[in-house]
Amino acid sequence: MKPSRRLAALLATPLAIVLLVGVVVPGMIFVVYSVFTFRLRQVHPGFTLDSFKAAITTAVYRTYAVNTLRIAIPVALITTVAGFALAHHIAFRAKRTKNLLLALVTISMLGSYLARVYAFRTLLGEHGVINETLISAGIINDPIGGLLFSRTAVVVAEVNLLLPLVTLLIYAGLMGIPRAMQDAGRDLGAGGFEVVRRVTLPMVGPAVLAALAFAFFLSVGDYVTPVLLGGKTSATIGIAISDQLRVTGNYALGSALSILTLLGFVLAYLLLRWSFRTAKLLPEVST
Amino acid sequence: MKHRPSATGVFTFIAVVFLYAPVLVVAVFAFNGSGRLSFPIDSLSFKWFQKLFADPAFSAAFRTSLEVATVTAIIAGVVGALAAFAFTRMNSRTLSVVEVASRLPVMIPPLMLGVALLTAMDYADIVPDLKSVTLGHIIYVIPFVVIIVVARLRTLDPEIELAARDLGAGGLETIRRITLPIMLPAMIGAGAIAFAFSFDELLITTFTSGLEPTLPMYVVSRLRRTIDPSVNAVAFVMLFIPWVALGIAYLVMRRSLGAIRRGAGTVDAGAEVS
Repeated sequence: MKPSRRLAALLATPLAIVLLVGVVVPGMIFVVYSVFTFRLRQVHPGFTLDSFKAAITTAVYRTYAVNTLRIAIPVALITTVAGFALAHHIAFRAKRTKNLLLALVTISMLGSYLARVYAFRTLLGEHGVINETLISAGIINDPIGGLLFSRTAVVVAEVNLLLPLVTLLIYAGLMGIPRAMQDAGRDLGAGGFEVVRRVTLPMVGPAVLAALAFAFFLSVGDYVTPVLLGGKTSATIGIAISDQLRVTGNYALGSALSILTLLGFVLAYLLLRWSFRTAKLLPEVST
Repeated sequence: MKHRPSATGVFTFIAVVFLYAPVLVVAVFAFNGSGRLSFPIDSLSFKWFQKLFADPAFSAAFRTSLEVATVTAIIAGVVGALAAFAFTRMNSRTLSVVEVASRLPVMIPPLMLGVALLTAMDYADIVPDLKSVTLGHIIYVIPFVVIIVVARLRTLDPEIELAARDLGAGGLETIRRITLPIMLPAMIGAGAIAFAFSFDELLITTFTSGLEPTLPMYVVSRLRRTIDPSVNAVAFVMLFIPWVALGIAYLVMRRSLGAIRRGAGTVDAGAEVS
């Protein structure tokens, strides 16, 4: 069956309209807003780089950027290493439990994001499960403070949120490796760890890079977990952007901060790709 | 010989416990008879759920979220499936541009999608309401719908459709009897994922919502105030509803995929006999 060109256009038009109205046009307006002026609590058309200047020179945004990195870098590294170990076990070691483990990881990924963030509050709070249980067991007398509302709590929760996705991304990459390659490595005398380092990793490099970048960027973009679980040192750039738009109403500055953050993503990704290439963890470029 | 757990096996076990322990703890305390968050719990009770459903703010948010998620699933499912059909059956430069563009929302952090929508509404003087919330959700879920339905349609050999045409089926009949049955399980699965993701969406909704909060926004507002154990019951609802939706979709998909396979089996058997 060969539907006519007109029919195909008709079928794809609703999607094109949704994307235009929901992503492309708002994206353009948003970029334009970053060079508008903000005066008298309102955004006015014009051209100025004031918002970018403010975003770069204001000291507090630098602190926020550092806070963001101090959350996102550990989150991305921990989820990628743990996700690799998990995916590797599921792909090559687990025999009978393979399908069960895959189902568990997938179901966890599809479980409510907010319920999982909230769960850490129930666990770590001053009157949370850990403290109350330890007290009623007589192990401690006073609640351990500082479990919640700390950067560590944010990192732990975000690892919990992102681990399933990262695991599945790396798992998909691992499934693409012909089993014979690893056997060949072993036959040539490489130990288990060496096979992973010299045979498996270089072949799954693109998937690991994608997972690492994804985890990093989802962590940077998450402005809810740091608010609900973080303390004073967890104010991130995402919170700053959200506040500019929702509280202050300075759309120009919010949009300039967002654009700088997106530029940061691109730079971070290029840096990551370069380091993967240098470590020979990506296939040679064929072109 | 006794089976000795390997190091990676132990790690995997710990990782799975880490993934599930927090939500299981919440689920248990949602049914706790006392208000204290301490193990072991003393009695089982539904009182937190009763308290919850007696709260009009919760009921309203719950209904809003169900509505938004249902509309999102239907619109995203239909729009995404129509486009997926075009992507797999037609070649044109415009179509491939639209297909690449359909993956944009996954590559942009939800925060930025929400911020862009809010900016655009400010520019166009649109007051945020449930329509803008739903639009945000549709954008968020549409890449997944397109990817799932496209993947399903690519497993179908176009020759089968040609064969149906050769056997005298008209264009519409071919779609109804061959293409649609093959697409349907993927559409149901994609719709369930859209429903689940929409029901839980918060990062975009914060920016696109007006005066009617969705369930996740209700939860956040509750968390900013003092917490009482009935929040455990809300978290249980938030966890449970998407899982049920996905579970139902999984069963439907498995049944209809099984039916297609059995159907194919009878065709093969018939061919063998003749």
